[in-house]
Parts: sequence; C-alpha cells; structure tokens
Amino acid sequence: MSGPAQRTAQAAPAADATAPDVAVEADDAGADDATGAASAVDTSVARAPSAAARPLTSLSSLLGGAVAGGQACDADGNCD
Amino acid sequence: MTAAQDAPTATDARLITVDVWTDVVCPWCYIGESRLQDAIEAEGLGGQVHVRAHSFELDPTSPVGGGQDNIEHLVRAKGLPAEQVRQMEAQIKTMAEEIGREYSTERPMANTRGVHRVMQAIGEAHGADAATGFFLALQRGYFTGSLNPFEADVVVSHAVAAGLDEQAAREALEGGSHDEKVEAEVREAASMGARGVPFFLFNDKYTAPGALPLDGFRQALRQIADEARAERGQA
Repeated sequence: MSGPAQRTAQAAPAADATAPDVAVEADDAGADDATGAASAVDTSVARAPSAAARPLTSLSSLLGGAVAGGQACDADGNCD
Repeated sequence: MTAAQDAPTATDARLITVDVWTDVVCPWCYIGESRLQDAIEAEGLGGQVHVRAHSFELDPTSPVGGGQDNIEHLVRAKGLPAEQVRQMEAQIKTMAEEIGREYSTERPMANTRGVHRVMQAIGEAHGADAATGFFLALQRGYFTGSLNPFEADVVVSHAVAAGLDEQAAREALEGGSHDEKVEAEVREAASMGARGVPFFLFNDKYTAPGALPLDGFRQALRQIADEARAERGQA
C-alpha cells in the first residue's frame, strides 16, 4: 500500500509546535528541498492528475498559526 | 500491485483524504487517530473523510518476536529510569481517558516490521481501506490491552478478516515480502519533513506533524472541507 503522489514540501513558517511538555516538535514540512519519492499505488482512491508534485503546505499556515503543534513520537522512539 | 492498479481509475466522492503515517506501538498515533475520528464526527463529516494508514517504524532495531514490555524497552533503549517511563505512560493514559479511550500503560513490545509488511500486503491485494482497517484494529487492540500484535496468530487472523489469504499473511509476516513498500513509505514521510509520527497529510496538500488537539483537527477539517467544496463548485 502506498498513497500520495509525488510531492514537494514547501518551507513552513515558523514552527508552531507549542504543544504541552509531552510534545516532540516534528518539523512541519520544513524541508525546502524535500521531494516525495513514493509511487502512487493505492487501489481504493484515485487522485486527480494535478495532485502529482503538488507543493505541500503546513497545516499551521492554513490555519493561520492558530493551532498548536501536535504530540508525537520521534524517529528515535521517544514519546515523551 | 500492477501498474494498471496504480493508475487512478475512479473518483472518490469523499471531501477529504487524510494520509497518516503511524506505527502500531506509537501512543500518540493512537491518541491522534482517536482525536481525528472524534473531530470527524463532531464536524458532521462522517462518510466524507477517507483515512489511509501508512507505514512508519519508530524503532526498527527492536527485537523481533517480543519478550519485552514497553517499560523495559524504553529503560533499555533510552536509558530512562523505569519510574520516569511509568509517569510518561500515566500522562498519556490521562489524555486518552479525557477523550474516552482506554489505555493500557503496560504493553508487550517488539519489532513492528512484520505488521507493516502484512498491512502492505493487504493494501496491495485489497486496497487502502482494508489495510487501514487492519492496522487500526491492531493498534486500538494493542493500546486497550485486548490483543498482542506480536503474536503471529493474532496478526494473521486480523489479516484474514481484512480479506488476505492466510498463507499470504504468514508469508508477509514471517518472510521478507513487502519490505520495500514499508521502507518506501517511511522514506516518503521523511521526504515531507516528518521526524516522527503520527504525521498527517490532508488532501495531498497540507501536512501536520503530531497528534493535534481535538479543536485543531476540527478547525483543519472544517477549512479543508470548505476548500474542497469550493474546488468542486459545491460552495
């Protein structure tokens, strides 16, 4: 299973991860040069062709920074 | 999966697709997915949101097969005092209870690659909905203490319930098939800036790291639904 089409992350605005002390501030799509590489192999959902290589936007940008960052476990397995 | 299957062949009428990178043993993934589901209901978007799970491994170095619990695992892997780990678990349990979810603070722990391989096998054979249903059932059962996703028979029975042939499920779980797909999804998350999970992607456009508060999910769904309706001329 895979999903989303190739996409490019845009620079995110200032990190908004002001979550509680349990938060790990995963960067909100902050890699300017990040380029998705996965193939679209989802049998259940069709995406519009225009979705391919669509630039990504941080959700916090959409919401005007009104939403605090989320709680996450980081790639080292830390969930504190 | 064949190239023909890869190609878009149908239009999904649902307004929002939420791709979530997640691991079975990730407590914030469980909390985040629960909040997301609550937000979907609160916004009256039931049936309008398509959630798809994607593979992410929090600790690929975990031993296969189990034998540890989550407390021991963090004590050994991170050098944390056991009491600190228990306090962290208690904090998360409180958050789970705040949204009406059970949360078992002491759980088995092992390598999750096999579960991800089976999810990929289900996705390949039966699509994202079946794969996501399989994965979330295991994750919820794990955190409520009702099942052990490191027992082969548990994983296989859930895979069969999701439509996968038993032999194919055992091959994916115990063999090396579908490793490449698991790794591709992990790489994809990283390519979008994910440094942990859960990591959400809304409508192939908006990224959000971590389990947002319920209100955050509600705001996001509301705004993205409005945008989707506008794009479809339904505003």
